[in-house]
This record gives sequence, C-alpha cells and structure tokens, in this order.
Amino acid sequence: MTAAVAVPRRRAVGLRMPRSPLAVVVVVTACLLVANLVVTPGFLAPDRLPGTAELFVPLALAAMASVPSILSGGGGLDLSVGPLLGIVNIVAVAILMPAGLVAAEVSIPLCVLLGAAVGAINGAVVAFVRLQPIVVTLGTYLVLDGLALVLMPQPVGTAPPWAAWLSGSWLGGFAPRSLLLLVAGCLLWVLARRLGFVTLVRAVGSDARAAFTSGVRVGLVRFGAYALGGALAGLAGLALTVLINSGDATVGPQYTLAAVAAVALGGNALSGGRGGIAGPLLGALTLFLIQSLLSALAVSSLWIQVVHGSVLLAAVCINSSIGARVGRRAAAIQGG
Amino acid sequence: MVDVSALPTRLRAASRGVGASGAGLVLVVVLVFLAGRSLVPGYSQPSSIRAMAVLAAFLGIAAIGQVLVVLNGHIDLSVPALIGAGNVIAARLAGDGVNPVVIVLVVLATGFAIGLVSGVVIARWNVPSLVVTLAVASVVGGGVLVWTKAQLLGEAPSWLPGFTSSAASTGPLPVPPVVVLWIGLVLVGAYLLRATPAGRKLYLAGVNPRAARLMLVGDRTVTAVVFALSGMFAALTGMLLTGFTGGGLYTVGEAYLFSSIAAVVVGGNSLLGGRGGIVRAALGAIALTELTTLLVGFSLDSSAQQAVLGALIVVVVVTYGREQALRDQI
Repeated sequence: MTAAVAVPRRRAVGLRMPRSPLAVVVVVTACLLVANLVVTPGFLAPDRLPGTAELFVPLALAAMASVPSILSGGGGLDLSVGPLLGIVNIVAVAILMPAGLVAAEVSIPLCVLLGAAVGAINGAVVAFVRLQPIVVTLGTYLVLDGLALVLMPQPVGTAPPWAAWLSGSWLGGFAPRSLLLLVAGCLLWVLARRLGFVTLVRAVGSDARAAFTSGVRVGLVRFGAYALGGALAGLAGLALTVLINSGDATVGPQYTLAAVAAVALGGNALSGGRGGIAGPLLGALTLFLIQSLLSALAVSSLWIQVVHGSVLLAAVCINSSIGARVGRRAAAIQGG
Repeated sequence: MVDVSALPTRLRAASRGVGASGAGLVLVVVLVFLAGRSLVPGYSQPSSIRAMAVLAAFLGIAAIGQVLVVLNGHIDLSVPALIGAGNVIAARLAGDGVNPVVIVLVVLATGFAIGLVSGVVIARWNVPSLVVTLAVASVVGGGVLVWTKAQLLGEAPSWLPGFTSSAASTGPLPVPPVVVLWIGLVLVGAYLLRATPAGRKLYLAGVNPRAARLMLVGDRTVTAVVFALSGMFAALTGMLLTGFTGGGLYTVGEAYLFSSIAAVVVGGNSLLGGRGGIVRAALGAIALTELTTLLVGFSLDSSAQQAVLGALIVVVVVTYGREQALRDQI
C-alpha cells in the first residue's frame, strides 16, 4: 500500500475537483441512492423505511466498530467484529432470555458490556502482550465463531421483547426506532472525541513512536481503542438481533469483511492514523445501496456475486483515483 | 545456518519480544508434534505424518502466494476464490479429456492473469488491496458459480490422485510428490527472495514503498507481479485439490481464506510488510496443520475444535511472535 500523502492544507485544488476524498464518497453514495429511487420509487416510503433501516443499521455499526482498531495503527484490524455481533445475538437470545433478563434496561447494557469486554481482551493482548492484531483477532474470530455454534447449533426463533419494540417506528414509519442504536453508537463516538480519546488514537496510529516520546501511553490508548470497538460491536449485535428477530450463529461472521470494506471505501487509511466515522458510515451506506439495488433489479442469484464484486471494484477505484489526484495536487502545491 | 553459541541469546531475545524468533518457531513446530505424539494415539505413525504432510503442502502452496503479497505490505483475500476456480477449471478440462500439460498451463495462466488484474488495479490506482481482492474474489467466485451452475462437474485429472495421495511416493523418496513439489517451491522461492535483486525489491517495497519509489525501485511492477504469483499459487492449490474433491467443487477454497493468512502470521511474518519470508510461512503451515490434527484427535465436534484452535493460535504465537516494546524501538 503506497503511503498516502497527508493533506494538512487543502487550498486551490481546482474548481471542478472534489476537495476531499469524503466528497467523492458522498457523490458515489448519492448516485447509488438515486439509482435505487429510480428502480424502486417507494425506496424511502414510510412503509418500507423501517425494514430498510433495520437492514442497514447492523452493517453501519459493524463498520463503526472496525474504525477504532484500524485507526490505532500498528497493523490494527479487528477481524472478530463479525463473530462478536453473532455472539452478542446468541447471548441475548440463548442466555439472557432463559435467565429472565429480558428487560431492555438490563439486557441491552449487558450486551454492550459483553462487546466491550471481548474488545478489551483483544486490546489487552494487542497492547500489552504485543502480538500482531491480526493474529489476536483471528484467534478471537475462531473462538467466538466456534463458541456461537456450540451455544446454538440450530437457529432459535424467538427474540427478547425489546427487539420487537426496536423494529417498530414513530411518526408513521418516518422515524424507525432501530436508528436509535445507530444514534447510540454515534453518541459513544462523540463522547470519545469530546474526551480527546480519538485524537490520542489518531496520534498513536500515525506514529506510535512519536506519540510514545510525547508522553502518550500508547498501550493504554490501543487497549481503549479495541474496547471502544467492542462496545460498538455490542450495539451492532443488538441491531442484528432486531434484524433477524431470532438467534442465529451463522449470520454474524459475514459482517467482518463487509465492515472492513466499508471502512476502506469510506476513505479511512487502513494503515491507521487518518479518518473518522463519517467515511465508514458512508462506505457502509454504499455497500448497502449496492446490495438493495441488486435485489431490487432481481438479478439472478447466480449473477449477484459477480455484479456485487464489479460494482464494489468500480466504487473503490472511483473513490481512490479521484482522492489520490486530490492528494497529489495538494502535495504538489506544498512542493512535496 | 543457526549459530549455536548465539542460540541462548536469541531465545532470551525472543522471550523479551524482540521481533519474531526463527528458533522459537522451529521449537514450537517440534513441541506441538511431541505434544500430539503423547496425547493422541497414532499421531506419530508414518501414515498420519504423511497425511499431515499432504495437508500442510496444500496449505503451504497457497501460503507461498499469500506471504509474497504480505511481504509487499498487502493482503490477498481472493485466494479461496482462485482455489475454487483452479479446481473447477482443472476438473472441467480433465473431464473433456484435455492433455495434462495443457491443463496445468491453463490453470496457472488463469490464476496468474486474475491475480495480475488485482495487482495492477491496486498498484495503478493506489486502492486498498483488501477491498480490491475482496471484490475480485466476489467476481471470480460468482463467475465460477455461473459457469458451473453450482454443481459438481468434471473429474480429477487421472494423474492427480497419485500425485497428492498420502500413500504415494516420489521415486525412491517415501514422500508424496505434492510434498516434494511444495518443499521445492519453498526452497527455490526462498533462494530467489534472498539472492536476487527482484527478491530484495519485494522487501524494499514492503518496508517503505515511498523510499522504494524514490530509489527507482518500481513498486508498482513488484506489487502487480506478487499478486499475479499469489493468484497462480492459489489456482495451483485448487488444481491439486481435485485429487481430494474428485471433481470441480467451487467451494473447496473456502477453508483457505483465513488459514492461508493464519499460516503466514503464525509463521511470524509481519502483516505490515517487509519482515519475514517463505520458509516462515511454510513452518507456519506445518504448525497450523499439526494443531488442527491434534484437535481432530481429541474428537471434539468441529465448532468446539475451531474455538480451541483460535485460542491455541494466540498461545502458540505468544511464545515467539511478540513485538518489540516501544521503549526499546527508540
């Protein structure tokens, strides 16, 4: 991966050229949204909106959950996000429900805490045992995925009452309640930013040694980044429970690669140090819109993978070729 | 050659976490084998060792391509799709009675060409390899699905089962030919990486792509070629696997998505690029195969097996693969 040139000042990049990579993602997403509206005129109609939101929220939260670990650099990558979604879903259905913990105010915080705890374990091994993040989270991936199938070999068709409530909506369909989970995730991120934690993670991610010599406790920051990612994955697991309204061990793991792809599509550097959550959220939206477009066009199930791959390839090339041109021009202006 | 007098220092260095220790890795491969021998009856019988060697060879050949990509600072998620493609193409052509030499050439060329496409896109547009290879995997996997209509078709080339069977031997050597092929590829690859300018360029571009470009080392060409090679090795693995599947099975590669990466990282190669080598990936493939076989011996069900394997990978890598502490890097 060629190190992208940092763009501290963006001035006079050209009139017709988008000013930041994020602008390109916005344009690509907007085009896809229009395409969806053309194919399905009722795409954003109130009767379909809750279902659409339900499908989108787990992917969006999973993408957000992948952000802090990638941002913290050092090869940071959390492969365990997908299975963590799955295990939260299964714990909510197969452990908390039989134990009588069905009240939203008890089981929702417990699920988020479970996510944070798994994230914290990843973070502790990455930060203090100093193993490569991909080894650690691959290990967690296998453990969680295996554990999920042990706890629930067959899908179970019941879900806690809060899942049914969250799949409803207010204002006659215009305000799906599943978006509450996404809002909660964003609030968590805003809180982390307000506390200065995100800045520390970026500092560690862009140059761990420089951060260390400036007195940043690099290990602790990385640990926190994985724990934060875990908490967001916990929320994503709740959203998954709302979506499938049951317990299923096989759904969660599929989110891992989609989440990382969303982060990359959103223009965050996979080498760490650059980016926030706006890009990944748009990236998740792009992936989601591609999928809904393909299913609306009734593409044959055999062809859907081919088309999905091609569109993803085109989207990522458009995003980064224009983004790179912006970067190069800015670098040229600075004389770099 | 390992300098024996330096060994204690190296082991101490490894326990302090100064990079990944090669001696520690070899030690782990031996220790896991000894553990399997004492815990699982029949683990060290010649037939079981041969079976493990064949499995390690399949994983190891796919991991050669993956490690080249990783040394260059990228990752290849299209390995499983290309294994599936190689498998289906070989079976299809063999079913049509095509000449074996042609089959091998077509499979290798297809893998090389598809990998080259990923590599060129990644290098030319500076796109994250993870997304590009994921997308290419989706296109190739879907293409194979469309082509085969999701059915098992064709047959294994007649010479292949003998080539990959664990009971086969290579001339006077009591080792299946596929294992000999793997060892040969690893040795040749390791020599090329160490001793040729092309190999050094690969490391250089992995350590610091910007510096490599400023030194006029064409990192774009290097990247395109390593992805092409990765595609070629994946397709080769797929073809060899027809001996096991008995026909073209497009899902045969699925297990190799994470295991090819696991072999590379368990071998102590850094995913940040520029650190490690082909021999390490081979040792990683051996360690991983030993662990999996060990767990199969405990007759756990497959999901419990997977959970234990995940924990074991982390525990094993702790013994030799710790990174240096930041305070020691300054």
